[in-house]
Amino acid sequence: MQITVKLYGSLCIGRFHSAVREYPDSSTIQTIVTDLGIPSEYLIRLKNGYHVPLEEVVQNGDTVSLLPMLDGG
Amino acid sequence: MRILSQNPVTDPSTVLYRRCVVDLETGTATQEDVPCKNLEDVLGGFGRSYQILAERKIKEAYCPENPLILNIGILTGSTVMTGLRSYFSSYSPLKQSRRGLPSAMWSAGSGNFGNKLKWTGLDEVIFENRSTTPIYAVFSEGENGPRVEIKPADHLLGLTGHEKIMALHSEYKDAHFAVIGPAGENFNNVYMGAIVLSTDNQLKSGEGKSRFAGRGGMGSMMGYKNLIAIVAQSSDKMGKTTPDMRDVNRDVIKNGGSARFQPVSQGGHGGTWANIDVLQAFHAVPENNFRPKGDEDVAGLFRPNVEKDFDVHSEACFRCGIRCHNNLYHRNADGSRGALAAKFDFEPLILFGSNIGINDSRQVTELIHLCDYLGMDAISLGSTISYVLDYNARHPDQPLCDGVAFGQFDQIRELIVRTGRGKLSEVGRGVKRLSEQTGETSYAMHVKGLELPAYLPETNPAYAFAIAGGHMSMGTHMYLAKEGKTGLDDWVEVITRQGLLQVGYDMIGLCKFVGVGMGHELISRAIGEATGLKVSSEEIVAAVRRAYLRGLALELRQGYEDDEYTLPGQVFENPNPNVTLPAFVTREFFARMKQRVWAIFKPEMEGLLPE
Ligand code: SF4
Repeated sequence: MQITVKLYGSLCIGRFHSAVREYPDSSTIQTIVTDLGIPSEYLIRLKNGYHVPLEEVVQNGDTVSLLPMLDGG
Repeated sequence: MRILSQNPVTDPSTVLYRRCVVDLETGTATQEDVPCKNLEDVLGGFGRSYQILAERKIKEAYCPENPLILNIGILTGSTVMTGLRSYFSSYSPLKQSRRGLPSAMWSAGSGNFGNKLKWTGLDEVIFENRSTTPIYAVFSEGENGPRVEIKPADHLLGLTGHEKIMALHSEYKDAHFAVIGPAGENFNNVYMGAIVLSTDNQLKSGEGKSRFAGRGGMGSMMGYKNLIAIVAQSSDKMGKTTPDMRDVNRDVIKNGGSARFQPVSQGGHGGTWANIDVLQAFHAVPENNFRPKGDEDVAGLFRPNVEKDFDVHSEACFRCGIRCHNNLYHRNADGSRGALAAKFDFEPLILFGSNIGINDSRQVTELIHLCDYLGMDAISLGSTISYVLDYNARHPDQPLCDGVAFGQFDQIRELIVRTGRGKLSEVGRGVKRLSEQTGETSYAMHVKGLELPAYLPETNPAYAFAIAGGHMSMGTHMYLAKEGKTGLDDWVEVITRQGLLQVGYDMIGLCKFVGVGMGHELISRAIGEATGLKVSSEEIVAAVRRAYLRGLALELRQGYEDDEYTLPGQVFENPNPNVTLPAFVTREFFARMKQRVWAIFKPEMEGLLPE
């Protein structure tokens, strides 16, 4: 199935800003994060604009956004 | 600090800290070893200073009885990474209740000043009264303990914060400095004066790479006391890093929390600057006075775009491996690194950038630099300026400050200079007072009289429970963006559990960028390794909680009423449809949240203040 993956901030470095990628059925956010070699800690994960856990299952046509989880100062 | 036993919880009086009281009126100083009363005293910072402030009933900030307390945390000057913090506490000229009573405040800064103070042998200095002439205080290590000298400071007057530091540096070797800029000197018209702290990098390079204790006008308090600078002179006494401490520091660097603030080149996310990318994904970057437009104008301030104009270099305070500073340098014609332009942290970047309608990084750097040199708090100044610009957009016929408008770089620059030099009290006294004068308070971005940092109030109802600055004393400013949580239970829980623990870093002497919560075993390990004291994570959390609640109790004692625990009216009256995060902060939600938070806090607050 096809998933649009969007990356933000330093997560884009050496990867991409936005890409449509192929994943097997029943993939989760964790599958995508692992596939891209992004540490799953301190990560904001959105599916179609909504915050979701790593175990969230994705479906064909979904948009997954991954953002670094920062803090203020 | 003298530590006579290992257990600061059951026997806090066996830990004694060295206090110096300087009477600025007479120029005399006394010193004593003070036994700690509780774990908050032992940990230090505001946990200790607020207990001193609570003993005084102060009706106005600018009065001789209002002390300025300088202290450090238990890990300041230790071999724990980021252990550099110094703290300044007083009743604030800027933050006051509707009844007109000043609120207790503290402000924290890095640099190497805190270390040097500790190495003179002092843990705390209380400046009492005020000098009739401009002076500076020198603390140094003497043969029989810390030495104190008071000297005339006329030659420093009018200099910028950086110039004062460099002038003192030429006179005092082996020293670090806490100074005020012109803003602090003009304390009557500027209530948002910052304290400027020197860094090793600054002294070596001669460039303005200071750190700041900005919040709440502690620099203005120094100005009121005619205390223009403080010198801490000592040889370096950083202890030997033991193998166990090396492990602690390795864990500080390796934990994912601090990695977020480390340089991109080191695999980190590049400091707080990267927040802009995250928040822009939700159109939640403040623009035009905290009113995002839903467009991509802020992209000019994204790192890759700024790197086209500047050489961005990650630097650090003394021996800190986190290296969170993003310093921007001009590029010479041959492409080599030129002079320093400014530091780029999230707060000043936004508050002197998109929030005042400026998205050109060259202009933003100039405004940040100016604010720093004049010695003002970037948050208070930026948020007050954005109010002026917003007001003028709404009232083109009767504008404030010569009609300056969003995006007008030259006019805004002039406004900053006039404010910092004490020529524009409307701005220098902060947004609460200004908005009360104009009668338009709903878009004045402050809570309880302290201007908001660069995180939208509609994304953080917990601002109401921050006791010393919206994001420095309540760790919920990114909660919505990070977790997407909008439930009442979630917010009550995050405020009353994790959020308030944010203040713990302002006790122990470390930077928040260590990136772990107060309950993390790393903190208790670090304290154990640096001091030999045995204190559990639970005990640290309990002490931090008491210190926070004491601060909240002190607010109430200074006259804050329930309806002052609120957000700018615009949040409820006119939600911004451009922000794509959920709009959940209604008046009803807010009232219920407050009721439940107070129901948890109030019983615990009993007995925390002296009778
Ligand atoms: S984390 Fe940043 S501000 Fe804190 S000590 Fe390290 S370099 Fe300085």
